[in-house]
Amino acid sequence: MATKTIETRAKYKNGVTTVNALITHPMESGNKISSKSGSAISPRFIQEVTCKYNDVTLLTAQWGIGMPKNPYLSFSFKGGEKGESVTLQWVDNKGSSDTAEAIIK
Amino acid sequence: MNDISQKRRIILKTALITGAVSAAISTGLAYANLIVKSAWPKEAFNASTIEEALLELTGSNTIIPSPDDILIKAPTIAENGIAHITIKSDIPKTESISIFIPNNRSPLVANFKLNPSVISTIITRIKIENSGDIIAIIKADNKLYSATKKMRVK
Repeated sequence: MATKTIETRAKYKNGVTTVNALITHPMESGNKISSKSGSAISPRFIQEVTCKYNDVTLLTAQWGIGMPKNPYLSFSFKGGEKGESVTLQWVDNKGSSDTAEAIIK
Repeated sequence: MNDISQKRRIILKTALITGAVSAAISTGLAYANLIVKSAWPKEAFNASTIEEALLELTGSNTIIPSPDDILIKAPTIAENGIAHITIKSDIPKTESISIFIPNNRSPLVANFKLNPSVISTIITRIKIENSGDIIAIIKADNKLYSATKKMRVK
């Protein structure tokens, strides 16, 4: 995708790093009918989000059609260091994906 | 829809075969768990009941209700069927946090697998199709713990 789809931030405080991410994605469940064509809109949703720090996978989120449009996620982990980065990647059922990096502040 | 159910049948068949093979091996269960963990658990997300989804996801559906150790923070009324939700687990060795909504077409909403360094709290947004329960299931030390919260959809 050409446009940036992940808005992510990472903040360090008292030994804990908190990661926030907002992903721009339609998250089509496949249950909606298009008002223009009258046919069903095919499902398109993020299946997996992975968050890594220093090549270690911190979190793997597996999502289904119960996640809404533009999904949001936040979690914290012990450790982290200011200036280092956390990477976030999503992959959807159509094989599209995007990756973003957040510098820990 | 037909296409999906056909695909599902193939998957079910494959799952059955995998299951049979694993059962033949003494370390079968560990092996099956490994397979489930390595990819998006399609069978679990396609399951129509929590029991079925849990079995696909974790290999077990024995749940220990632990409302005192799991906190579900969510509004009582979900505006437009979307709710901001916080799930916090106080259970030691929490490995994963799953969110289930029995009244949704796909009861398994999300599954979060956590590295031991991750603090076992997840904040996210979910879709709720009808009023009813939200169930958080925590996997810790190969056991499943749950907590439930009722929500209304406006």
